[in-house]
Parts: sequence; structure tokens; C-alpha cells
Amino acid sequence: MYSCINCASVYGLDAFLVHVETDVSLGLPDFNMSGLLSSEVKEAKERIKVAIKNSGFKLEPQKIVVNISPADIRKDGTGFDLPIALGILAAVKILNLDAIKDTLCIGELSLDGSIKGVKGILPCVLMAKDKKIKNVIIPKENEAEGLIVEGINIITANNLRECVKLINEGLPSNPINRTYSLDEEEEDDNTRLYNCFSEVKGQISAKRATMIAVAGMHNIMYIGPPGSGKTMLASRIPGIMPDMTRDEMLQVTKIASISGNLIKCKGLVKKRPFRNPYHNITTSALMGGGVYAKPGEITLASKGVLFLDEITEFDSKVIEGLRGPLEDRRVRVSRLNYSYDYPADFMLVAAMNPCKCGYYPDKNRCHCKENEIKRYIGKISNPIWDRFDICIKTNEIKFRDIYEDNNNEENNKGELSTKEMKEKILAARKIQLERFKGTSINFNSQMDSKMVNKYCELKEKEQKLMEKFYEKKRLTARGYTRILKTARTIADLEGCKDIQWSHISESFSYRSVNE
Amino acid sequence: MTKDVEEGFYWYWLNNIPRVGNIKIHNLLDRFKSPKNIYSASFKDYTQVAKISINDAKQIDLAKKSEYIYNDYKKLIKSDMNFTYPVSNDYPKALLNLNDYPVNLFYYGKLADENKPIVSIIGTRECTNYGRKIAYEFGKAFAKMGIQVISGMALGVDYYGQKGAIDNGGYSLGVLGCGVDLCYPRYNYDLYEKLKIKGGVLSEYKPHTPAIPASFPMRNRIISGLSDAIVVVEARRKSGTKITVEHALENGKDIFVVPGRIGDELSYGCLEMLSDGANLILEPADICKCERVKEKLFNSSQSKTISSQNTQFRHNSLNSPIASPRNMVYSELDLYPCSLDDLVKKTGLPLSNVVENLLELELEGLVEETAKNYYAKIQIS
Repeated sequence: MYSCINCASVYGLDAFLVHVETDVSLGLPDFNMSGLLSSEVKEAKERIKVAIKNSGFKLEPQKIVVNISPADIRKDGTGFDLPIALGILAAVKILNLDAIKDTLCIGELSLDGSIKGVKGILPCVLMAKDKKIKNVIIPKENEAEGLIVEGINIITANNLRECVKLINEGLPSNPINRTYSLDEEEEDDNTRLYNCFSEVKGQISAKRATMIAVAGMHNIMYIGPPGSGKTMLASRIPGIMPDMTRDEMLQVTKIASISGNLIKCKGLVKKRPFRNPYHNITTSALMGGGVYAKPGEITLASKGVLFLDEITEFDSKVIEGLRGPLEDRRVRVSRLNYSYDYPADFMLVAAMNPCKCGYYPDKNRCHCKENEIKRYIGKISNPIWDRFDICIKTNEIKFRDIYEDNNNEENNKGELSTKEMKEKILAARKIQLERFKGTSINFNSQMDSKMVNKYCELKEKEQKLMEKFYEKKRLTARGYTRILKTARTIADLEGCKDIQWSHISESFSYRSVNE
Repeated sequence: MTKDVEEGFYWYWLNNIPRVGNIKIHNLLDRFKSPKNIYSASFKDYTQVAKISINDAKQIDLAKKSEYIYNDYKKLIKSDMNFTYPVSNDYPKALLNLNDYPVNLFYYGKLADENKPIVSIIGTRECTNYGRKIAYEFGKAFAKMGIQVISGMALGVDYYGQKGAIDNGGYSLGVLGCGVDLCYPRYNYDLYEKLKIKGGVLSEYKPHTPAIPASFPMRNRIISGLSDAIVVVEARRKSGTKITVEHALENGKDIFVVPGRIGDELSYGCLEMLSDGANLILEPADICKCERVKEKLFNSSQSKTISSQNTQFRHNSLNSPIASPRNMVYSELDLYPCSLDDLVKKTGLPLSNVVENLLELELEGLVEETAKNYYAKIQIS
């Protein structure tokens, strides 16, 4: 007898509908599977046979043929176990096929018949909703993830026997109380999720630079001696970014779901991603890739921060690969037969030492020669330097900084806290949103030269000073626009309509070291 | 072959015998007086010279027949490189005072005029902003005073001292530890090219000789041998500069040392020399305390008024006495670079204000950014 069950598979960031067709007929006992399957799907036949037996169902030795269509797209993952098992049971009339006509099933089977969680549930459920499928059967483990999608009947099952029983008795509608849906926790102060900036001692200029960078989504580079707090600063950046909108959360959750980072998560991911890959990372791990492409770190960092600590230690090929995604805000992973588009809308934060030993310009400790320092800086190519609008030196913390700050409340007043910074950033972001209404961009850092001319007009006095400096410092046209963009963000932070000289001069002090 | 060229060949040959180095050469010269005599002497004669073994003597005999040395010499004569030897006219007489004076010298440009004062500016390769500034200013001041600056064309103090002289119309001679046709360190190519045109580059090593560590102390002895006085700008506790200074002391040259701060690694060597009795030099004109320099300065027609050269070293504060933010920022700066954060703390001004004033001062040429977000004064005051 023939049966057909709906299932889903992930392609890129989205899922597509898959039909699991099963035919059980007389003939030599055999189990065949077709439909361009990866090996974990092919292995399912052993699991399924045993799982069915251990769930208390009895199968006659018959010829079983399973086809997973469309047969020209490669399918991987373990989510097909449950639909195949249900298909076989339906074909031998143990299961009522009509009851699951309008249902999508996903789940991995264990030998004892229990259903285990799988990756990528969220995009599958979203796709089911798009295709107007009424019910979705997912593993109990993935319950929270499935419930993110509203307007669809989510049914969970612990094991195959329970699942068959549910179907045969007629699927219940909305059996799960959507208690941990997003709205209840929304009141929460999201800043609590992150560490506070006031914990970073000293670093007045670096903190301010960080705030400016986040306000305009400029990429930032910290240069400083070891132990000066570069990593501390970077890890606090997600905390001062504005809270994510629901669309953003959905995207972040989707990416996390596909890459399997969501198993223990409850519902939507609310924390902005902070990814800090080590410097031994390969190009494909960073950009996304593999024979059957998977999202890389830059995609996982989407809507958040990608932090490259000790950027000089990364393979230069890996770093150069960032050029495209930084411009396009997405990455295309191409394979011979297909290509995947992944989002890569992240803020790049990098940290490095000023020289090999790390202590330049403290000549008491640094023994590096001038050309060695230049060579060290030169490990990062100019095109990559060009992508850092802001470059700031972090200084070694002196004992006085730590001591005074801990003991003197008054000193702490000057320290920017995450909350204050976030407020200022939100105000600056609002100005930018208004400015770029109707255009394709949202932030100052994304302006092209035409927009820079339009939005960063200088008054006469500023123009004259700028001209003087341009000549003196031998700026390039690109360096010039970068300084203007940063100046625009500083002006937005200060709430100024026009860019003033003080904004430009501050922006100058953030230019990169190779200029 | 003219007589000069032939004489030159014997000197060149003497310097190119395998296994026979400087000491053996001088032993040979002591006995035979001239390279030509050595060339015409016999195997037996050689073996009677101190430190010359039978093997060495064999090598000398073999070298007489060597076509390589002859061909190399012919090539050298044809090239634009200058070659000189102790009895030649252009050989610096000052070097003959050395026990182990070099028997061959190769150079581009011209050699230092021995009738004018010659001062060497030496110091560490990894200098601070302070050392860099001082070396440059001293080089500049010496150039204006008509003093010739020599040094080793190394990174750091050497480079900036020589650059200060060359850039300001003075003469400077770079003494290399490799063949003069090689620019070592490569990084100083700009200086090397300038020296070839406006000054000179000198070496005792024949063309194409690569730089090896052992050749630098040998080079230092030439520097100290050539100069009337030596100015040490920055030196570590253990420093190659000390070798030059020791050589110079052996030859009775005057040592002048630029003081630094106590506690700075790079000032330690300098302060040590000062406590050992070296002369203190506070401004370029102090070099006239060296009798030899003073004498030559007044003898040479170029003797300019010395006092007017040192405006750089007079206290130079900004005009307005009021504590404007600009003055506050400027007064916190010195030749040692100060970080932006420290400036904000010291002045108590908001960051954007400090940065704005720094940029203005930079535009006026009073302040420079020496490293990322580190600022220092340009003028010595």
C-alpha cells in the first residue's frame, strides 16, 4: 500500500516541503530508500525498523520502498526518521493516513522508539505556516522553538507509540499552553543580560569610541597592550546595541536553529549574538561552507558582533575573505549545483597589539624596531584597514585607575555605564533612521560617497580647516569620507544638526594607524 | 696599469688572501712595510712572521696566482665605487692612528673633510620619540654649524642624526658593516640614496659583502677613529654604542652624552657613561667644549656664529599667559609621548575638547602624534 507524509528539509536559511512516499508491497523482504539522501538519512532504515518493533508494532516481512521527493535536491539531517516510520505504519494500515493529510512531521527516532530533537525546527515550522499546513508534529525537545511561530497547531510527542496514538485518535488542536511566549518577558530590562561597561576601568577614550562605533554601526579596532581590556570592551558591545526587533530576533533564532545552537533555548533568542572565533579558524568556518554548506561565524554573528581578537594572528586569507561580506552585508556560498545566501549583517570588532611584544610605545619594555612595528601593522592589508572607521588605542590600566575607581564614588560619575551609553546610542540611532527613511540603509557607516556629500555638508569654517588638514596629513579620498561619516555619527550623538569642527577633530583621532 | 692602480692592486690583494685577516695583515705589514714587498717575498719569509702558519703562507703563495682577485680588482676599478688604501691621498689620515687600521676602504660620494670638525651621533636602534627628536635636532644644528656628522646608518638614533644633517644642507658619512653597494638596513634606503649624493657611504668590506653581526663592532672602530667627538643620544645598559665609546676612549676622543630620565631603559647606558665621567651635552653648541672641534670650527672658513643656531633649545611656550584649554593641553605635553587618556585625566577637560586642541596644535606644527593616540611636543623646550 502507498502512503505520503509531509516533512521538511532546510536549504540555506529556509526550509522547503518534502514528501516522504512509502510503498509496502509483497515481494522479497527488503528496505529501499531513494531521493538523493545523505548517509545519515540512509542509516535511518536500521533505526526505524528497530524503533517500530520496540514500540510494539509488528511488521510482516514485506518489500518496503521509500522515496523522499523532490528527488533532485540533496537532503540531510535526521528529521526524516519520524515521517518514514509513520509512512510505513500508514502503508500497513496501522496508522490512519487521512488523519495526517494536513500535517508536517519532523523528528529523529531512537532505537527504543522515543523521538529526539533535531536542528532547524524553526524554519521548517515557518515554512509549514507559509504553505498553510494546519498541524506540525515535532519532538518534545523542540517544543519551545516550534511555539515561536504563532497561528499553527504545534503538537509534540515523546515517542512513536504516543505519536501514533495521537494521530489515530484525531489530532488535538493547540494542546500546549503557550506560556513562555515572548510577550511576558518583554518587560524585562535587556541590559541585565550583559555585563556593564562601568566595570571597565579607565579607558575613557576607548569607551567613547565604542559608543560612537555602535551608534553608527562603524567597525572598530582596538589597539593596545596585552591585558588592557580590549576583550572586556568588545564583549560588552552587544549590551549597548538597541534591543532587537521581533524580525531581527526571528532571524537570529533561525540561524541559531539551523546551526544547532538552540537545543536548550527557550523560545526566541533575545540576546544579540557575540561571536569570537579563535585565530586558527578556517575560511569556510568563518564564511560558511562545507560540501553541504552550513552558515559560518559571520552569519552566526548577524545582527550582533563578530569579535576577532588578535586579528594579526588570523590567516590573512581568512581576513581578506571578510571584504565582500562587510560591503554586501551578506555572504554567498556557491557550490557547483546550488548557492546559498546567508545574511552577514554584523558589526566587526577587532583587537590587536601595537607591536610584536605588545608594549609599544612604552620603550622601557618594547624592544621592537620601527620597521618591525610597521611590518606588524602591515599584517593587516590596507583594504581591511579601510573597513575600520574607528581605530582606538587602549592603555594599560594603572593601579591608580583601579584603586581610585573602587574607592571614590565621585570618580565613578565620569565612567560611562551600559545604560547611559545605550540611551545615547538609541537617540543617535533614531536620528539616523529618520535621515535614511526611504533609502536602503539604516546607519551612517553604510553611506556611499553621494550620501556623504548630501548629509555631511561642512560649513565654511570647517571646510577651510578640513582642507588644511587634508593637505597636511595627505588624506586619501576614502580616508576623507570615512572621517566625515564618523564625524556625522559624533554629531548625531551630541544631537547637533551640523557637523562642527570638534566632531571632525575627534573623528580624526580615530583614524587608523596605517594612515 | 698606472702606478696608482698597481699600488692599489697590491693593497687589494693583501686584503683578499683567504685565511689572512686584519691581525695577520698588520703583522705582515710590520715586517715587510708595503704590500708590494709582501707580494714579492718568498714562502720562507712568510713563515717567519708572527701568527703566520705554514698553511697561511701556502695561501699567500696561492693568492699570488689567483685570477679571481685580479679580475675582481679590475671590475672594481671600472665601477663607480671609489677605492682607497692607506698610502692613497684620499685615505682618512685619522684612521692611521688605529692599531688595526683598515687596509682597504670602499666608498660612494665623498669622504669627510678632515680639516672640518667631524662628530658622530650614535645610539640605540630602537630609540624613543625623545631620542629620535634629539638626534635629529643635533644633526640639524651640527649641519648649520658646519660640523660633519658621521654614524653607522643603522635604525634609530643613527638614522635620525644623519637625516637631520643631510636634510638641512650638511654633510654626513655613513659607515657600513657590509659592502657599500648594499643598503643595510634596507629600511633606510631613503637615507642611503641621499648619502650617496650629498654625503658619503664608507665601508672596509668589499662589494657584495653581506652584513654579519661580527662586522658591526669593526665598523664602530672606524666611526670612533674618524670622529673628533662622539655624541651618544640613547643607549641601553648593554649596548653596541658602548663598543664605539670604548674604542673612542682608547683613541683619546671626547665623549658627549645626552642625559635622559632616571628609570628609562634607554637612558640607563647614557647615565652610566655620565657617571663614569663622560661630558654632558645639553645643547648642540656644547660640542665646542671639545678642543679639537672648536679649533677646527674656527679654522675653517665656514665658521658661523654658533649662538644663533640654538633657537630650538630655548624655552618656547605659547604666547598667551591665560590658562586656555589649548595652553592646558600643550603644557601637559613633553618630548615623551603621552596617551590621550592620560591627557584627559591630567587636564580635566572633556575628551572631545582635548582632541580638538591637539589637532589644532598639530596643524600649527607644535604637536605630533607619534604613535596611535600618543602625542608629543615637536619643539624641544
